[in-house]
Amino acid sequence: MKKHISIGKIVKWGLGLALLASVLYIMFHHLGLIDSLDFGAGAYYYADIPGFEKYVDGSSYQSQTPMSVLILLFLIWGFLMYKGWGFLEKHMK
Amino acid sequence: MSKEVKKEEAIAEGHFRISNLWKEEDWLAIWIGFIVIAIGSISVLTGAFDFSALKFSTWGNGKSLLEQFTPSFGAKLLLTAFVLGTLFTIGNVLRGKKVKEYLPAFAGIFALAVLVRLISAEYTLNRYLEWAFFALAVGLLIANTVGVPNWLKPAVQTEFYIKAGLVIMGFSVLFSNIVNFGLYGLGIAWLVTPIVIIFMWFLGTRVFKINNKPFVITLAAATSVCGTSAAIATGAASRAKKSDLSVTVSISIIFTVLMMVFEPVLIRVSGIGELMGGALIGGTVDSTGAVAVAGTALGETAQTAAVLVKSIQNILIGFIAFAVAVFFTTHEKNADGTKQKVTIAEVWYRLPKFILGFFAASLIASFVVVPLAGKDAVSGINTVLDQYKNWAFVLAFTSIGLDTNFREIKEQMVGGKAMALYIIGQTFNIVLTFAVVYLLLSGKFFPLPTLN
Repeated sequence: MKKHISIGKIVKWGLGLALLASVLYIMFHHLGLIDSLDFGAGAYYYADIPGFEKYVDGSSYQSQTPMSVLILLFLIWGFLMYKGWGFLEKHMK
Repeated sequence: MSKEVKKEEAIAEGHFRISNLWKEEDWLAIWIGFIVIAIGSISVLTGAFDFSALKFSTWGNGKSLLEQFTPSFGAKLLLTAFVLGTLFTIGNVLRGKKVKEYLPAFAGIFALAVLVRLISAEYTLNRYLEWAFFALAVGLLIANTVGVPNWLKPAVQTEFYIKAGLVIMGFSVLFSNIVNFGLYGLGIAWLVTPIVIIFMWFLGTRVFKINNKPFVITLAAATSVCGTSAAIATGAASRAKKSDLSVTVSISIIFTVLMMVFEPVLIRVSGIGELMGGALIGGTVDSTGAVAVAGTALGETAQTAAVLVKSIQNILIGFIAFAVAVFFTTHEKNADGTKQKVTIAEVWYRLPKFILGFFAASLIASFVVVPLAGKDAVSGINTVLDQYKNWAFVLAFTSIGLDTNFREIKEQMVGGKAMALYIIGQTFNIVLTFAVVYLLLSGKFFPLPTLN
């Protein structure tokens, strides 16, 4: 029996292989890396960033909005989105 | 069937016993996580002893692999094996497993984890691919060639390692980071994320008709929050299959490499500037390490904006995992498609308890340890804990590889739908994040923030 190979399948495999080839090319040529940073997308810890203290001690940006307001907004938006998800799950077929 | 459901409900209701605290996997994972956190905190705060786990230094690119085999390497290797071996063995004994079966098996899995971390410390591999990738690869290679020997199987316990690792990770998720970039950061990181998750959920379940809902939500969380860590937490919360996690992590890692390289280039070409470009990177690139690298490629302001946005997005992991766990618990349907009535007691019973451990660790670090000891001290503690978390996750991903065959992975790709879901979801994520970034940081609608 002759096996049918669709164009869709060829396109999918072609795209997949092109994707893998791109990643291997990037890795082989060390593209996108920064010499001063001893990490990339892989093994990483935030303390590795030069001068990371400014991100944790609040000196990189002085927020005028109190934390309590930010937490409240965070919780309100999260609650609304959760309820919206449940509503759509129930009514969207 | 309805009888079975009723029987299950009957079993589920009201069966919390105090002995669950030392017999159930979730609670034991919480204990293990908190023991590691406590010892790590004491070691850093008192300076009385060094609790650091083994970390391989980068080798290759002119640096020999042998350079790291120093006496301290051996001592740290033994400490790591002793701490994790002891805790997980006690955990297994409490769950009714036999020491003589588990301990040799743990030694075998740990040896594989050492191999994985050694491979992933190579210069190029370290910079592009996460250890999760190699852990899966090593496990899959063994499982699909020589097969997993019976003596090793008692230690193939993916969920146990993942849950313990997540509780340890909770300590590094500082809720106080929410103020790092004020309303700008909250808007970029939090407005978009749930919308993208809901979009991908309906795209996956309704348009692509993927029946495996835990897989869809795991992929959605990885896309919109922060890649591997979010996938691990959400996968565990939704009780996703091991192959769901394998495919999600693989897709996320491959695209993270591409986005880390190409996104800064496209941003520079588009001329949107460092501030907006950095914030866009922070909101869209999956892995935190890749965010820092891609942001730095654009400039100092971009690096700051990117890391600030990502640090806020990372807070979301626990909340998203919690919401997903509750959603999956309360929206389960009976076999005839009708919705089950779920009581609060049942929600509590079914809820994966390790999430509570994750939250507790996060809240204790944010609102107890930071005010008492300062953020620098917490950073020091997390430097120690980070390695234990990594070891637990490497054990977990090696276990996944050992427990999966290639056919399952192929089936999981559902004829390319998984890849299509990720690509469309990520594109939507980029477009929506750009819209919010433009609204908040273009200077046309709101005053521009000053970053130092």
